[in-house]
Amino acid sequence: MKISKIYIDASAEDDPLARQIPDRLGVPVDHIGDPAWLYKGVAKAPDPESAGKSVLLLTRNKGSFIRNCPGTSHYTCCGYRILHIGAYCSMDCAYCILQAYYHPPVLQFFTNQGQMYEELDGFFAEGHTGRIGTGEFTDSLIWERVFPIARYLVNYFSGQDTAILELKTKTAAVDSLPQTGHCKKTIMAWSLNTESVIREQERSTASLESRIAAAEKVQANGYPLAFHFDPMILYPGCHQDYAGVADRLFSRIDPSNIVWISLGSFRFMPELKEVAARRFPDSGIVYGEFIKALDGKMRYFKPLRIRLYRSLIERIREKAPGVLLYFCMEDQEVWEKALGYTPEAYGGLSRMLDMRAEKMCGLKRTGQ
Amino acid sequence: MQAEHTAIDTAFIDLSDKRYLFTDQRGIDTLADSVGRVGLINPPILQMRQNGDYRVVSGFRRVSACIRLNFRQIPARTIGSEADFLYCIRIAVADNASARALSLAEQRRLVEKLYDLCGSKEAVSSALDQIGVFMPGELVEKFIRISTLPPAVQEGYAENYISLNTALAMESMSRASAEAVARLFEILRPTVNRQKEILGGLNDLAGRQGITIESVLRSREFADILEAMDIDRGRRMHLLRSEIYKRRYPALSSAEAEFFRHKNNLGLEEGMDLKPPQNFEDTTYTVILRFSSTRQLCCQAETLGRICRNPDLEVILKREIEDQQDLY
Repeated sequence: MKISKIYIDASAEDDPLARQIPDRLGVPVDHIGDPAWLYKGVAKAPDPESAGKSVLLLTRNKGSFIRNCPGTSHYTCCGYRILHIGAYCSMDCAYCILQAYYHPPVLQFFTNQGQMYEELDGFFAEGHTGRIGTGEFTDSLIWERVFPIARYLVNYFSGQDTAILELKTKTAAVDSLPQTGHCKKTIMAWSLNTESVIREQERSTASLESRIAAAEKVQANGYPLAFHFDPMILYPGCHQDYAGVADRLFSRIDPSNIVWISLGSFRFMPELKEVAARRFPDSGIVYGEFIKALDGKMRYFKPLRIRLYRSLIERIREKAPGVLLYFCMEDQEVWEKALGYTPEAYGGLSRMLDMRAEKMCGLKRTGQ
Repeated sequence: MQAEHTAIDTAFIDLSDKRYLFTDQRGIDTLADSVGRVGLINPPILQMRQNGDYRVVSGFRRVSACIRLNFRQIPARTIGSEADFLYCIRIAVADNASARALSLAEQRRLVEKLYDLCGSKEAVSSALDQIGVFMPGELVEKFIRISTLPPAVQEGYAENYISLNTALAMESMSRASAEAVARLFEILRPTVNRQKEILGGLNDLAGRQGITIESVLRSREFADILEAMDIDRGRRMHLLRSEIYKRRYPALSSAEAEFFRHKNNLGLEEGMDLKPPQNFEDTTYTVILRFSSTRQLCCQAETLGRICRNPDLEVILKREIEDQQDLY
């Protein structure tokens, strides 16, 4: 993360983190009354999406820290919850939806963490099995140099047994995580892709080798693991390449430590096309055979998605027959044709994943 | 305006000096008819050059009409050679705008002239204010951007077969690609919506194949369509759009063809139709029955019964498309 300047929103000035973080980073600080001023400046830059990665806004989360994953209609959502610790990312993936989601995107880290822990306590007290992750609006492990929030959260989740924390990343930055004491309440998850996609579409991310090596490292410390083949991208030779990634993964990782593996193909809001085409003219990623899907997002033509999933699932089942596989935002037809069943047969996707977390991470259900 | 009214020998008027020309030059024949019948009512404005002859400041069409009528002398208002560009263009604008509103093309040419002189959008806007032409800054900027495009695109815009927004969308293309698209539009004269669709499709195809739009258009299939002069323009447009679609969506278009092949085997009667879900994303198909009598509806109901037992319907609903492995 290369931050050249920190901006502190007036509302965050009295929070201890607004003092600690500038001390840790040692970069110039500016106090601003209204973040709109910063957004305006970033929006005027020749490449606003890059400019937003070089500044850090320390501000308060003015909404909820715990939010429901914004699943869309017609497609099966896993019922995940997002722990909204900050926004945007220091890495630069061509397909990153955050480029089009925020106007403009700016690295933000929330300083009112007292409220976050209060919300977590409330959530734990409800007693529902919960799956919460920080990797939806940002990468879970990019913030450790700014503030070791992942480490704090691992410790916090270790003290309860109703919910698991899933830290999703494309980095290999696992050194700050506690080696012991996590009580299996944190699932360490990596987004995986083929060497070709990582090289051409995922700028500044860790290599496939580094991600698997990092997973191996935390596996040795007893962390439960998860992997997300998402977004899967179609290109000539992709089927063989994805199968090759599965081969590499299972040559190093014990399937019995894997809580789940998700699969999802590249999908995007139509607004992303212009941004990605402008910022990554050689990427070609937005020119795949996309159709407007039922939720208004662009998705690969369905038979192409099914075929892509089938080939990877076949290889994963060959190597790790007991691992739970699921789709992120796919419909019943895709489930049926690619996995051979629909989640309804097992009480729904959310229930399937909860049960898996209960079994592998030792969660106890006390609520209804 | 300090101008002298005098009779000028047409041989001393240099019409090739287009320093102040921004107006449309259409309809000179009609104007010549009028001048022939009632004479030249509003004398043109000329500026004397250093060598003693004249350039036109305002009234290019009037001078052309008089020359066409073989007038040896015409009445004119003359401005001295010391008058600067901005002063003269102001006179030209005022003279034309007093008779009619300037067309969009004239406004663009005026901006181009001023941009050549001033060099910045702000200076052009200020000059326009000085000569009394109100034009939003956004439009000034667009006109300036148009002036930087390849001549073939500028011509397409001037001749009205390339829209302003389409022309601007061609800014990011290589010169060769922009010229190739301009030529395509010149041949096929698509509507504004079709221009957008074709440009978007070509852009996607080029991005998909990692080549330029010019290279896409150079491929045999596209070249054949454009050069098939024996086929009328509407048909060529249809062929072009189909070719773009087929290449842009190879799996989808193949699934559509497969659907229609099986649908044709169902034996649908007149007034009956079967519609697939949009892009085959959903799984719900729609049967449409149009009837005007109970007898017709009964016939359709019988046909529906037969269709339900038709194996082609099974194939349609199974939705297994042919292996697309060769695509990826």
